Amino acid sequence: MTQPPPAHDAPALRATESVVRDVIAGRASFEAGLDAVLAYQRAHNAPLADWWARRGFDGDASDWRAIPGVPTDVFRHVRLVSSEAPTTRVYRTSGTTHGARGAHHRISTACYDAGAIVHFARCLVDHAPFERLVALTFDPSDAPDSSLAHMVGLFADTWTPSATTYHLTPSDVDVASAIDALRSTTAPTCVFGTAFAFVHLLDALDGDIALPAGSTIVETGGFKGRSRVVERDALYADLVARLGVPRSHVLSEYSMTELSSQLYAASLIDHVASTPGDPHRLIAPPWCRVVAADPTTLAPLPDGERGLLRFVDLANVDSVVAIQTSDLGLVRDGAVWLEGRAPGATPRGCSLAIEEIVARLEDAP
Amino acid sequence: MTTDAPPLQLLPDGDVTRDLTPDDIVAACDGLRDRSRQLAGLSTVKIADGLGRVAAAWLEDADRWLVPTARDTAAVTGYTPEMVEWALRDLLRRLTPRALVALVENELGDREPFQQPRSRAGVPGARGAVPARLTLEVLAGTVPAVAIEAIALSLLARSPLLLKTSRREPVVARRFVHAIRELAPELAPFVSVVTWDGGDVALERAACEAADVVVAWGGDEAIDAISQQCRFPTRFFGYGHRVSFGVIDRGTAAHERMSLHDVAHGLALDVAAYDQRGCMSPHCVFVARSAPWSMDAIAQKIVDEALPQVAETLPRGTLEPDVGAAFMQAIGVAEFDGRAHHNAFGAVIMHTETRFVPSPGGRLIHLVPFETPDEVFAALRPLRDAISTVGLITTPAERGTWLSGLSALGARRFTRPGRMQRPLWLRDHDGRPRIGDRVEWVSVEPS
Repeated sequence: MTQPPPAHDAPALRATESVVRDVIAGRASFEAGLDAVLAYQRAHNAPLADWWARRGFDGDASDWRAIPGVPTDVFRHVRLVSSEAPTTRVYRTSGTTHGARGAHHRISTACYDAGAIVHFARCLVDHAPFERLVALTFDPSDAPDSSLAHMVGLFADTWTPSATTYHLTPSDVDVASAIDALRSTTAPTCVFGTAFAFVHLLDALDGDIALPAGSTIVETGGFKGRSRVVERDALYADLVARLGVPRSHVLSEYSMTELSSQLYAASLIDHVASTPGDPHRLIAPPWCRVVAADPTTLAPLPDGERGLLRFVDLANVDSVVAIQTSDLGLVRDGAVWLEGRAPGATPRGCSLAIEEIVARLEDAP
Repeated sequence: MTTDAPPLQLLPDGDVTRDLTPDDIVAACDGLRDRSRQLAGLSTVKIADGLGRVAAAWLEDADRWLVPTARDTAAVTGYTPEMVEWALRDLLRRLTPRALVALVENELGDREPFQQPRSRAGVPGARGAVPARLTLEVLAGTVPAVAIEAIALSLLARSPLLLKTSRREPVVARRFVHAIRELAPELAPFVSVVTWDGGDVALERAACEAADVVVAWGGDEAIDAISQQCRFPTRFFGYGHRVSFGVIDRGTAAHERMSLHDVAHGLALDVAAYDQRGCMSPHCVFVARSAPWSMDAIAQKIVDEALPQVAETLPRGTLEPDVGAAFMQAIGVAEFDGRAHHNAFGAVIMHTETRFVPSPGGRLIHLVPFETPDEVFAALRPLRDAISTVGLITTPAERGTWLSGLSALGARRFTRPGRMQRPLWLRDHDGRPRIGDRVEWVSVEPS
């Protein structure tokens, strides 16, 4: 995996990253990290600072829930990154049903990397260590603009540096090699992939596979823009039945290109602790907080109310700390229940659907 | 927002509170058809008087009829009660006996065209209207007042009506029928109101096979699905997805005597009505680069003054999450390059290219510049035949260019800003007559 060059010429960023890394390591509070990141972004990200000012936000960190979140679509049109040093990475969204791809520019991924490893360990590796990683994702060297490939490569480098295989090609999922890898493994294995890739894998699988005890499956979503959508619970039931992994060991992962942190289902943690829990409950890392926002006003909603999820992610040190998504869900006691993406404004009655209008406009010669 | 419990089904043989079966639909249709001759025997004046009596009672005894209906409809649709009340009042005020009679005369050429074939001066022979024995009308639930229109139009066309409401908005039709039962009982036997989940093929087929005329409102896919249940010679009329927009041409102010205030407040009302969910809600306004006012001036006037003022009487309802999400994303993108004006009452986004820009709804309108009408026509070409209403202000000299160009693209209604959501009662809808489609004619040639 190609590591980006260190941000030697960005002393303020390094200092801020140091604070955030302390938060990730449990040596500093979320509030201390937030203070540092807000101050850094106000000083070094002029478009963001201007936008905050227009929204009446002066950088006050006393209520993290009140920080205006930059809508994810903005990343399709505006370069939002610290100007302190040159960009070393650009992660791009995998594409939507239409329009430009979002781009998350980065000077440094130091906090992304540190946080991803710590939280994946906390949610999975500490409870189900694996010796082999079968990734239904791109090899990171083939997809330098994929944050998912970067993350999986990070896990491979950390836990299975010589026992990782990648099975996604530019044209499709290489299901034959993935099935071979799964049939041949004899040690606990982690299978990591998008929902779309798992659907293809199961479609191509002749018979069932019994993965070695202790194996895990991590599903990362990813039906956007695809024609075939399978309900997540149905997919998980198929994975359990056909790959021989208990339901507790099948985890959802939630993240997006515009974030640096990931959320994982708590099913494995609950299983190990022998506490029955909702397998759909997602756990955010302590350096990433989530609030559901009122769809009309974007005001923070009380615990348990359904709204549009907004993330305050300290690991986005050099870009945008608060991200407003179109994903619907609710937050209760810090855990998140995701209900899916709010589609483009859908038709209610006789007004033409925005998606349909866009499709007509884009299809026009 | 939907109600999960089965709604009260108003059937010819009595009301029930349960989900319906195809047998229920067949029985209801049979019952209504059996009454078709009885309805055909009522005069236009009698029907108009009955409907007018009910409409007047809703307005005069509003605390009993209009206000609770608006409140309960708001609770299930997400509109504010003020919005529903405004929409219902706007329609009910027009349901006077005189206006209803005029509608029949205007569309059918005679006050009592159903009684017997009549001769007209200069036309040999005679002609008489034949009502449909049963009309099925399927509503979308977006615009609550359409339920009342459907009942009035079907009765005026002398056709018993099976009115299918959406689960999203089951209230208005039922309340209006309750009022008819109490205040104009002579009309009550001819209307049934039912609800089932859209896409229930067995129920839709049963109803479509029994009806002579089927009218359906809603999304194109839903309308397609219903049309497929109709067999020849059933007549089917679908009112599907449409979009609307405004045009502010150059040099208009003096000719139209519209000030910036008038334009901004008119557009704000058009956008605010039904929270921009209807087919007559403008998505964008094409503004001539040489218009009397800059886009920035129009945007500021709408956002800073007109939308807040409209919200005093028509507060915005809650946005569905998908609308809220799309609204938030659009504003966010435009804000970063200084093209957005917005506040808690709505938003205006200014553009630099001449293209049709859709709005997610929720009181967000786009301003799009243009040099010539041909640029606008080119931008609209992909939406050919999906255009409803144009809020047009132009000069007399340019009016013909706009009317012919936009009509060729499928636009079927032209009005001015401020009237886009309030079509004249005596005019067609989406290019179709309101009553004329529902009847057939018998011709008696000279012997």
